[in-house]
Order: sequence, then structure tokens, then C-alpha cells
Amino acid sequence: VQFFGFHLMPYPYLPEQHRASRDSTWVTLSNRHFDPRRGHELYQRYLGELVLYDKLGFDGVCVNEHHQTAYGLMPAPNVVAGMLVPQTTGKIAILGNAISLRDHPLRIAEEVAMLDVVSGGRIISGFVRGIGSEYHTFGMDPSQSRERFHEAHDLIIRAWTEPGPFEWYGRHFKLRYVNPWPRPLQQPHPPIWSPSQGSTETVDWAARHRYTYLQTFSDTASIQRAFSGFRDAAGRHGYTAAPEQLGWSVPVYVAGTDEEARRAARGHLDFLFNTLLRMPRDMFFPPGYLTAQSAPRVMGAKRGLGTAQADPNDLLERGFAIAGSPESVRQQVERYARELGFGVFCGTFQFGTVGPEEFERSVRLFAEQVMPALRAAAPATPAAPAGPELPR
Amino acid sequence: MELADLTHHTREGRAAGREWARQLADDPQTHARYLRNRAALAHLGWNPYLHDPKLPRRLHRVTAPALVVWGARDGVFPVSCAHRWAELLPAAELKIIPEAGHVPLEEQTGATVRAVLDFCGGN
Repeated sequence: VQFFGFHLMPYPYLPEQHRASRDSTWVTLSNRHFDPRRGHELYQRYLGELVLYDKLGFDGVCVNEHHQTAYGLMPAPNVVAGMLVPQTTGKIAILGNAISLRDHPLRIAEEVAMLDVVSGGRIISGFVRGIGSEYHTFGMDPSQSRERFHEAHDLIIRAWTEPGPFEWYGRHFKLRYVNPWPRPLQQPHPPIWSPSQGSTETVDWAARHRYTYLQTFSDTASIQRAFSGFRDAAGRHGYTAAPEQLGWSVPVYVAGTDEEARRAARGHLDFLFNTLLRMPRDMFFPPGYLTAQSAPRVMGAKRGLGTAQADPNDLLERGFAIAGSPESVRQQVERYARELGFGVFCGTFQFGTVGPEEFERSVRLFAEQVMPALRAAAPATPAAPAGPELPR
Repeated sequence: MELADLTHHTREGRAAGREWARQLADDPQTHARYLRNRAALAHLGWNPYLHDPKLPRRLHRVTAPALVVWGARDGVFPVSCAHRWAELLPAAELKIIPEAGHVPLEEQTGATVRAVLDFCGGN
């Protein structure tokens, strides 16, 4: 199992009035509640926390992209990745660039290639559509999201792998000259990860391209379904999925004892699920964002997420999050790894209102007492079938 | 608040709207059609959101006689929109249907049909 440290960069200083309300924390929560001076302090702290993952021996760190929300302060993941390049030695996973939302995919091809070349080939390039609310943020037609995603992906991969200049006349993007400088250092291109909420089409797409599929914010039953969907899809496309192609992203909290960890985690999970993730269902799933085929499955897996009050005990019970002493967290991760068969574990140690001291303690306990045991215990896994070489 | 409370005004109208929403969740085929319709709506009216900012500058060119029919208790597009349409269309007649929400044809079928027939010169 490879271990990655994820960070949401949440903005915790929300007025009590907002917390107590049912108002959305996305798109419409006024940015007058963002205090730039406190923001400055948060960014310093959060960047330090990402660097700590790297120092403590995680295989890599993860950043992501979200817009107009207190849930996360990373609207520009490539900027955050750029700041991390000189401060880290491991991989940097950008999970991911919301390629459907950007005006031009070539911008992403350029930015990620730059990061890859400067970092010496340490970039993992995640591609996402952006969540439903972000189609409100950018006034982008949600019914075009999937189409734009596929065309942007195809263009970026071709721009990275085929010597330019060449022409591209697609439905959404039309270019006489595709010829980005620089090209990525990793050949044929940086590893691609596909973080998803579990739609049938995305699972199949990731399997078809032999990418790594990463499921976020789901209970273990939904993850089980998505992973077996991925394995089936890989079979249909003529190969056996490797564990490295299955990733699980989950909030983690480690403390001295189970009791202490669960008590503290409950408060942070309450803020994460009931305040930071809160938005009306129509904002989460705007019309046309999900296909008629996927809607029942995704909306089933996400039932209540962001739209109804979540019980932190229930979240821990169902595997939406892991909390406990180092020993019990090790047992849980080990059991889930066995049951779900993932080869990539993305622990989100910074979620909700986790303070600096408890963050550092939690991550240190995990890195020093959980990771080594799991690395030693992990059975030898077959190499990913078509993964590019990763120079370190 | 449910969608039916915005689209319909009368008790019967709202009850029918709720019943429709309930059936929608029960029947996969109807639900799939509903999702396709919503996707089409987004495709046509996402940005600018369900309105055309150029209309106020263009409507003065419409010389044909026009009838603007609107539910007095429309919870989706308030009745002030109807007054604005009538103001901007050079030859418009305005008919506000009392006791009707967003779908006057459903809630006040008789009054709505009469308004259209009167306008067309029928009887």
C-alpha cells in the first residue's frame, strides 16, 4: 500500500449563525466571512502541514481544486503544487484539475508539464469534472460537463505524447497549433488518477485507460461496489486491475486512545459533514451533471451527504472516516485493505476544525506507528499494467 | 418548501404537483425522462440563467399583436415579469389569471383558454 497525505485546507472561522443555519457553504456563502489576515496564517500553517507529510515519509501529498467555498481554500491546485515542489521530495498528487471547468485544456497541459519538469517527475495528474456546485460558480452548462471532460482529457494526453505542432478541431476546442512547451518529464506522461464519486461512466473510463481510480467520501459498501465495478470493467477491457489502480481517500484521526480519538474526530467530522459539505441537493447535482444511468447509483452512494444532518458516530461506523489509537487504526486500515483491495491510501488528516497540535500528533502517530507496520505486512503486489515510470 | 408550493397556488394544484413528484421517484422510466428534461433545460438556459439579458433591447421590434398570460400567484417568475413583458412589447395585451401559480393552464383552465380565445377573436 502506498500512503498519501491529503489536505482540504478548510476555513474553520465561520460564524455560529451560519453553522446553525441550513444555508449552503458553497457558491452563495458570502466571501465577507473570509478574513484575509487569518487566511494568511492558515495558508502558512496548511502548507507546513503538507510538507510535514513529506518529511514523515508519506509516498506523496495530495492537493485538490474547489471553488467559492469555506470547504477548501485551493481554487488553484497547480499553484499549491508549485509552492510544494521546492519543499518536498516525494510525489505531489493533484486531485485533480477540474478540466471541464477551465476555458482551455492547453493551460492545464502546460501547467502540469511545468510542474513535472521542475519537480523532476514527481507529479501525479488527477483529472476531474469539478463537483456540481462548481457549474454554478462558473456558469458552465452541467449537461456539457462529461463531453468537455473527455475532449479536454484527450487533447491534454495527445499534447503530452505527440510531437507538435498538430491541429485539433474538436467540438469544444479548436486549435490550429497544439505544441506546448515544456513537455512532461515522465514518459509517456505523468500518472493519471481519476478521483470520482462513483459514476458508472467514470469507473469504466478510468479502467479503460488503465488509470488509478480514487473514491472519496463514501461508506465502505459504496467503495466496495465501485471497486468491483472497476475490476469488472478492467476485465472487459482485457486485463486484471492492479491494487495500485484502486485508491481510497478517507479522513483519519489518530490519538493516544480510541476514546480520545473518536471523541475529537466526532467534533471535526460534524463540522466537515454538517457545515463544510453542506449545500442544497440541486446545487450538488445540477441538471444534466449525472447521466440518467448513473444518477440512482451516485445519488444513492451520496444520500444525505451535504444535504442532511450526518451523525458522526454513524460516519465512523460506516467507514466514511477512521479514528482511533495507532493500533486500532492499523487494524482498521489493514482490514479495509484486505476487504477492498486498494493499493493507494489517501489519508485526509486535515479536515474540519483539526488544530495544529492535534494534526501533527495524529500524523506523527500514523507515520511512525501505523504506516511501517502496514508496509511490512503488505503482500507483494503486481505492478500496474501500463503505468509510466516514476523517477525518484 | 416543495417545488409544488412554488409552481402551483391552489390546494388541488399543489396536491397534484406533490403526487406527480411522488410518482416520479417510484417509476424509473418517468424519472429518467424527468432527468433528460432537466438536462435539456440546463443546456438551453444555464448561462445566462433562464433569462435573456438582450430581450429588453430587442422586444420593441415585435410589431405583431401579443398576449401575455400570467398566473397572479406565480412562485417561479413573479407577476412583475408579466408587467415588464407587456411594457416592452409594443402591441401587447396583458391578462393576469387570478388564483393561479406558474401553470395557469392547469389551475385555471377555463379562464386561461378564454383569454387566448378572446385574443384570437374566437368565442
